[in-house]
Amino acid sequence: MPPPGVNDSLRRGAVMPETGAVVFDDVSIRLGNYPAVDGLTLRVETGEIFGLLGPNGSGKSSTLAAIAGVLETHSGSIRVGGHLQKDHPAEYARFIGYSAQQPALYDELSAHANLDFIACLYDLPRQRRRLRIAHVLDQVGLTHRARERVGTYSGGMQRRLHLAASLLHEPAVLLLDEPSVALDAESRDVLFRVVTAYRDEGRTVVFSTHLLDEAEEWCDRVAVLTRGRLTAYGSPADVLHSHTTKQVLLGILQAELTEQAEVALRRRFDHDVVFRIDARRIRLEAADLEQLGQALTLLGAEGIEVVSWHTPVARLDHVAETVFPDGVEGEACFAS
Amino acid sequence: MFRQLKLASTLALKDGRLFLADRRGFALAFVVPIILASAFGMIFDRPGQREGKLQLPLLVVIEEENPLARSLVNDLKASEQVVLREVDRATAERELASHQASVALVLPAKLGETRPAIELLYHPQAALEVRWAEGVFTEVFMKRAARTWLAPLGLTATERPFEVHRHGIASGGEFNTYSHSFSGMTLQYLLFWGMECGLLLLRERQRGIWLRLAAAPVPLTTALLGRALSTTAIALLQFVVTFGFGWLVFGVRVTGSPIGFVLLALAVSLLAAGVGLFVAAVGRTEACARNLCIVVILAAAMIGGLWLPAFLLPEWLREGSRLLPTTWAMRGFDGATWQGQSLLQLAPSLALVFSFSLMVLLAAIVRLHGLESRRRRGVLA
Repeated sequence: MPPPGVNDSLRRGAVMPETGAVVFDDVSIRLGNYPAVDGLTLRVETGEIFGLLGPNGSGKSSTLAAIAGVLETHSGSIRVGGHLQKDHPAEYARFIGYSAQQPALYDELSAHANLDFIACLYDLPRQRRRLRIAHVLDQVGLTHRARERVGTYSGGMQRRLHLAASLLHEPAVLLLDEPSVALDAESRDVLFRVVTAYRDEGRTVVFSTHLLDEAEEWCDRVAVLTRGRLTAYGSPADVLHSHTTKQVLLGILQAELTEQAEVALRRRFDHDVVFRIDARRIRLEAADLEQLGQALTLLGAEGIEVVSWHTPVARLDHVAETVFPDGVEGEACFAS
Repeated sequence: MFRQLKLASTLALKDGRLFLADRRGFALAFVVPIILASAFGMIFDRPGQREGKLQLPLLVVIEEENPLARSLVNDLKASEQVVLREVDRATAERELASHQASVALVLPAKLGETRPAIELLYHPQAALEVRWAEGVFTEVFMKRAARTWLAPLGLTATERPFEVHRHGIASGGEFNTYSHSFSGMTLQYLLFWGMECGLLLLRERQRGIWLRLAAAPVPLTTALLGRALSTTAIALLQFVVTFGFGWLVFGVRVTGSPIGFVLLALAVSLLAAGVGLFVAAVGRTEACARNLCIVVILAAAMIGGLWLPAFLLPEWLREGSRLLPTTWAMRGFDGATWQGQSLLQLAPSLALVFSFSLMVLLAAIVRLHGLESRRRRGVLA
């Protein structure tokens, strides 16, 4: 039998008691002999959106899978709402809505049939099942396609349906593994609305991403994982502050630089100013604004005209190299 | 317990929906076995054999027309044992070589001489038929000789001095090729259905659906029970449809114990479920598992006597086939349908098929638990 309070907290609309939504205590996870997560200790509070940040292979997905109870920890413990999975696996599973990276849906069935099946697994009574399915379909904007086979859906729609399936039983903790990957703008907006609405209901959302701007936009707090170890932890502003050591200037050049000009430029700048060029875009980093001004003057002296420039407000993705010392994905360092 | 059963039925119902949504699987389960069973039945069905009027097609070559040869040919034509066709020697040899005919009787030019040499030409695969033809010709010739030689002596006893009564001996009723073909093809396609269920399970694992189930309050044993339940239920439905067609169209009947027949249907449906889970447990990729399964199922079907009667197989293979569940299932179905066996007579087949099915199911469940445990520990992807 579950301890007193466990079943009570499973009622519809239940949120986590004041024990912290998810508490990691020196957790290590191994994938074969590879240490995917090493000595992770952190606490996700009830009613927050928590981001797990890190480049590919940093242990984000393993961490989420371990919270969901589908991957065992090698050592340490994970408590959700104060409970360990091994003590009450069925009740524990009801606390959690897990949306893995790969949409786990039956292409041959309609969206409605897929959701009905998932809802039955969580013992939702018929009437409530009907209401919840209608509600989540409406939330993810798929009501009009509910009776169509999932195989006919676009990738983005399938991911939205995948998200809807994890919301059906109104879990206290929603786990989303790279939810915005391959989403179009519309689907991303839907996802953002659903996640923030969920948080506003007093529930907890933990999601993984390697997109720093997304983490900064959505998360109340973040944890940065590097090679399975926690390297930063706190609000996005805190993480930003702890990693911001330089001023940044982003500019557009009148024309693309020749290779010779770029080599000459590198020779003129000393180590105090770091610059990067991507086609006509230039990014300068220096310890202070004065050095940036000198760098601009130097560019003018070399006959390189900067047609527009600005010093953006510091954001997580501007400090990607220090946040993710092992490397970043894509062009995050040029975002403004 | 009740919740687990409810969960298992939820999973099984989902499989039912998937089955109905898959037209190819639907055709494979219902239409193809009916077509093949009907075709096999028609190929091997010989209405004359059932009525005791089996006749051997026989070519006859008269090398030189003479009264004796003509009278022998007329006697052969009058016989109920053969269907005679007169041809020249070249035609006979050509038809035998291409196996359009099996046996040809050559009546030589010097037929009236002492100990004439009668030739019997035959296709190498018609060793039985040539003995048959020899026997019929001997009977006809001796009758003709008796009439020729005994009549002048006032003796007219040209009929054989005994009567022959033929009785087909089996443990029950009369052999029905449709009963055999419908049993064999249904059994074969139940195994294919089991294979398809196993491949679906493999696909679900690859598509992350099992991970989704693992995150839900669904114990692995319940998930496997659900799959076994759905496979068995659909296999039973396949049974009803295929045998129903055989009953309506070709008069396939259960002349033995109906309870034994139903239990046997349940046993082979469980066998299909076991095969399904086993495929999912040992298969690495879908393509590899499918190819291997098809070879194994077709071999088990052939050796087990699902296509052709087992007596056509070599002795060593027949002995080896006793190890296969398909052999015992087929014996059971033959026993329950056209042999009219009682429940007690069907008991060995039932016990062996049930035991084999449960063993395969158990082995698959243990193996899948092992795989899941390794996946949870991060050893498997």
